[in-house]
Amino acid sequence: MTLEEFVSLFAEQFDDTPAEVFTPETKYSTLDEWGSLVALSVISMVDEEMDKSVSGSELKKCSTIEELYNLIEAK
Amino acid sequence: MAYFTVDKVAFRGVAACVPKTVLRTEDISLFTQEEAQKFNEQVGIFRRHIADESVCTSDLCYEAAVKLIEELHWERKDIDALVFVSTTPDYRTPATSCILQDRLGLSTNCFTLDISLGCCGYLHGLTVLSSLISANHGLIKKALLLVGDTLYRTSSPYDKSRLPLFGDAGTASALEYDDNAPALDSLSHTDGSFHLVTITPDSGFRHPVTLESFIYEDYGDGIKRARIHGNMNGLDVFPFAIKQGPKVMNEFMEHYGIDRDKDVDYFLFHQANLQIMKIVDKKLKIDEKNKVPFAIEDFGNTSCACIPLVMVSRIREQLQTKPLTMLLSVVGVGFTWGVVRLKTNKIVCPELIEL
Repeated sequence: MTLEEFVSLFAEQFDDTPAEVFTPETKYSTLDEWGSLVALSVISMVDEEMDKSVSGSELKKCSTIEELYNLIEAK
Repeated sequence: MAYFTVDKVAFRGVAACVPKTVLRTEDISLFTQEEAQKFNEQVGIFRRHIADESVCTSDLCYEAAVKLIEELHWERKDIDALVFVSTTPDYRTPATSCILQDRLGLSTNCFTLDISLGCCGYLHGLTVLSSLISANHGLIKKALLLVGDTLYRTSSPYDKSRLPLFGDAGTASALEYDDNAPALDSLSHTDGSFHLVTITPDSGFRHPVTLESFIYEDYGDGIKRARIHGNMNGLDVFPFAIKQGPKVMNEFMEHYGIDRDKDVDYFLFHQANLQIMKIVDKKLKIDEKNKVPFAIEDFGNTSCACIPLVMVSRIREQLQTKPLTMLLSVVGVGFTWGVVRLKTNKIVCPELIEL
């Protein structure tokens, strides 16, 4: 999966935040809508689309979407 | 490999009791109305029954046991064993199973045992008690498995991540030695390296309760709790559950040569989170509409009582009227996870009791 595809799938997990807000540099935990329910959707998306497992602690550790993407891709 | 195949033990009946008081998600003051609605849609818990502080798990199990014994027409003096599974016992000592033996008027010849386990408690309880009965070649004939928890009050009232998830319930199941009973098959796993993920930090002897245990800390994101409160890192449970849940079921079905479409009437899953259950069903490619009953919307996560509560509240008539083969599966605290194949034949199943 490319970084661009990942950013777009990541954005899809949000109901209220417009898609154009999301870039590889987005610090997702600073977004108003970010919270445990969106995080569950992200974990579930990574599981389904990338067949990889990402944990809550890893989501906390990363800051930008790109950082998270690199961490998952390296698995 | 922790596989068990236990023969000569029949599952005769199951009953469940929940507190009368219902708490709707919209009425949890930690949530805005919008958050409540999102929670309902995604987690799937619209309501939960909650016990007031005077009601213990053993009270709920007691009511379920009384009704079950009555409808089975069992004589109390014939009950030779009682196992109580819970993480919310009456006291640290003595064991709650002893208190229940007396309260239910069972004989002093009765064997009693407490097992401390949450989510996986029903699977472990069935495996342990049926093994005990089977190994005894008929000397223990009738036995009760009392399983439940009152976890609602174990959360901090200011913990948005945990408080809305749990409800309270107590259940009773009846097992009997029977030469002609079909085998009960069980598979179990444990990985204690995850024990910090769901934990009550100051609750035992590792970190005894002191005055400091009651001091609230702010963890952000609407989470304030003290060390006496239960703590669950849901974001770390979730990836484990969606990975191991389907894996253990496939492992079990492969080991026993089970065809998911032909050989199973119902898949009964732990009711922790609707999203987890949907993902697991999808990965397993099982007929969710016809074979997977859900009760999460009405009761939330009732810990070890989830599966018997699904049986009583969702498939009662089928349990009473026809032979069934069910695969029970849980991933939970510990972590422990596993599958049990339970076969029943027109069992006693009283209507859900409210206390």
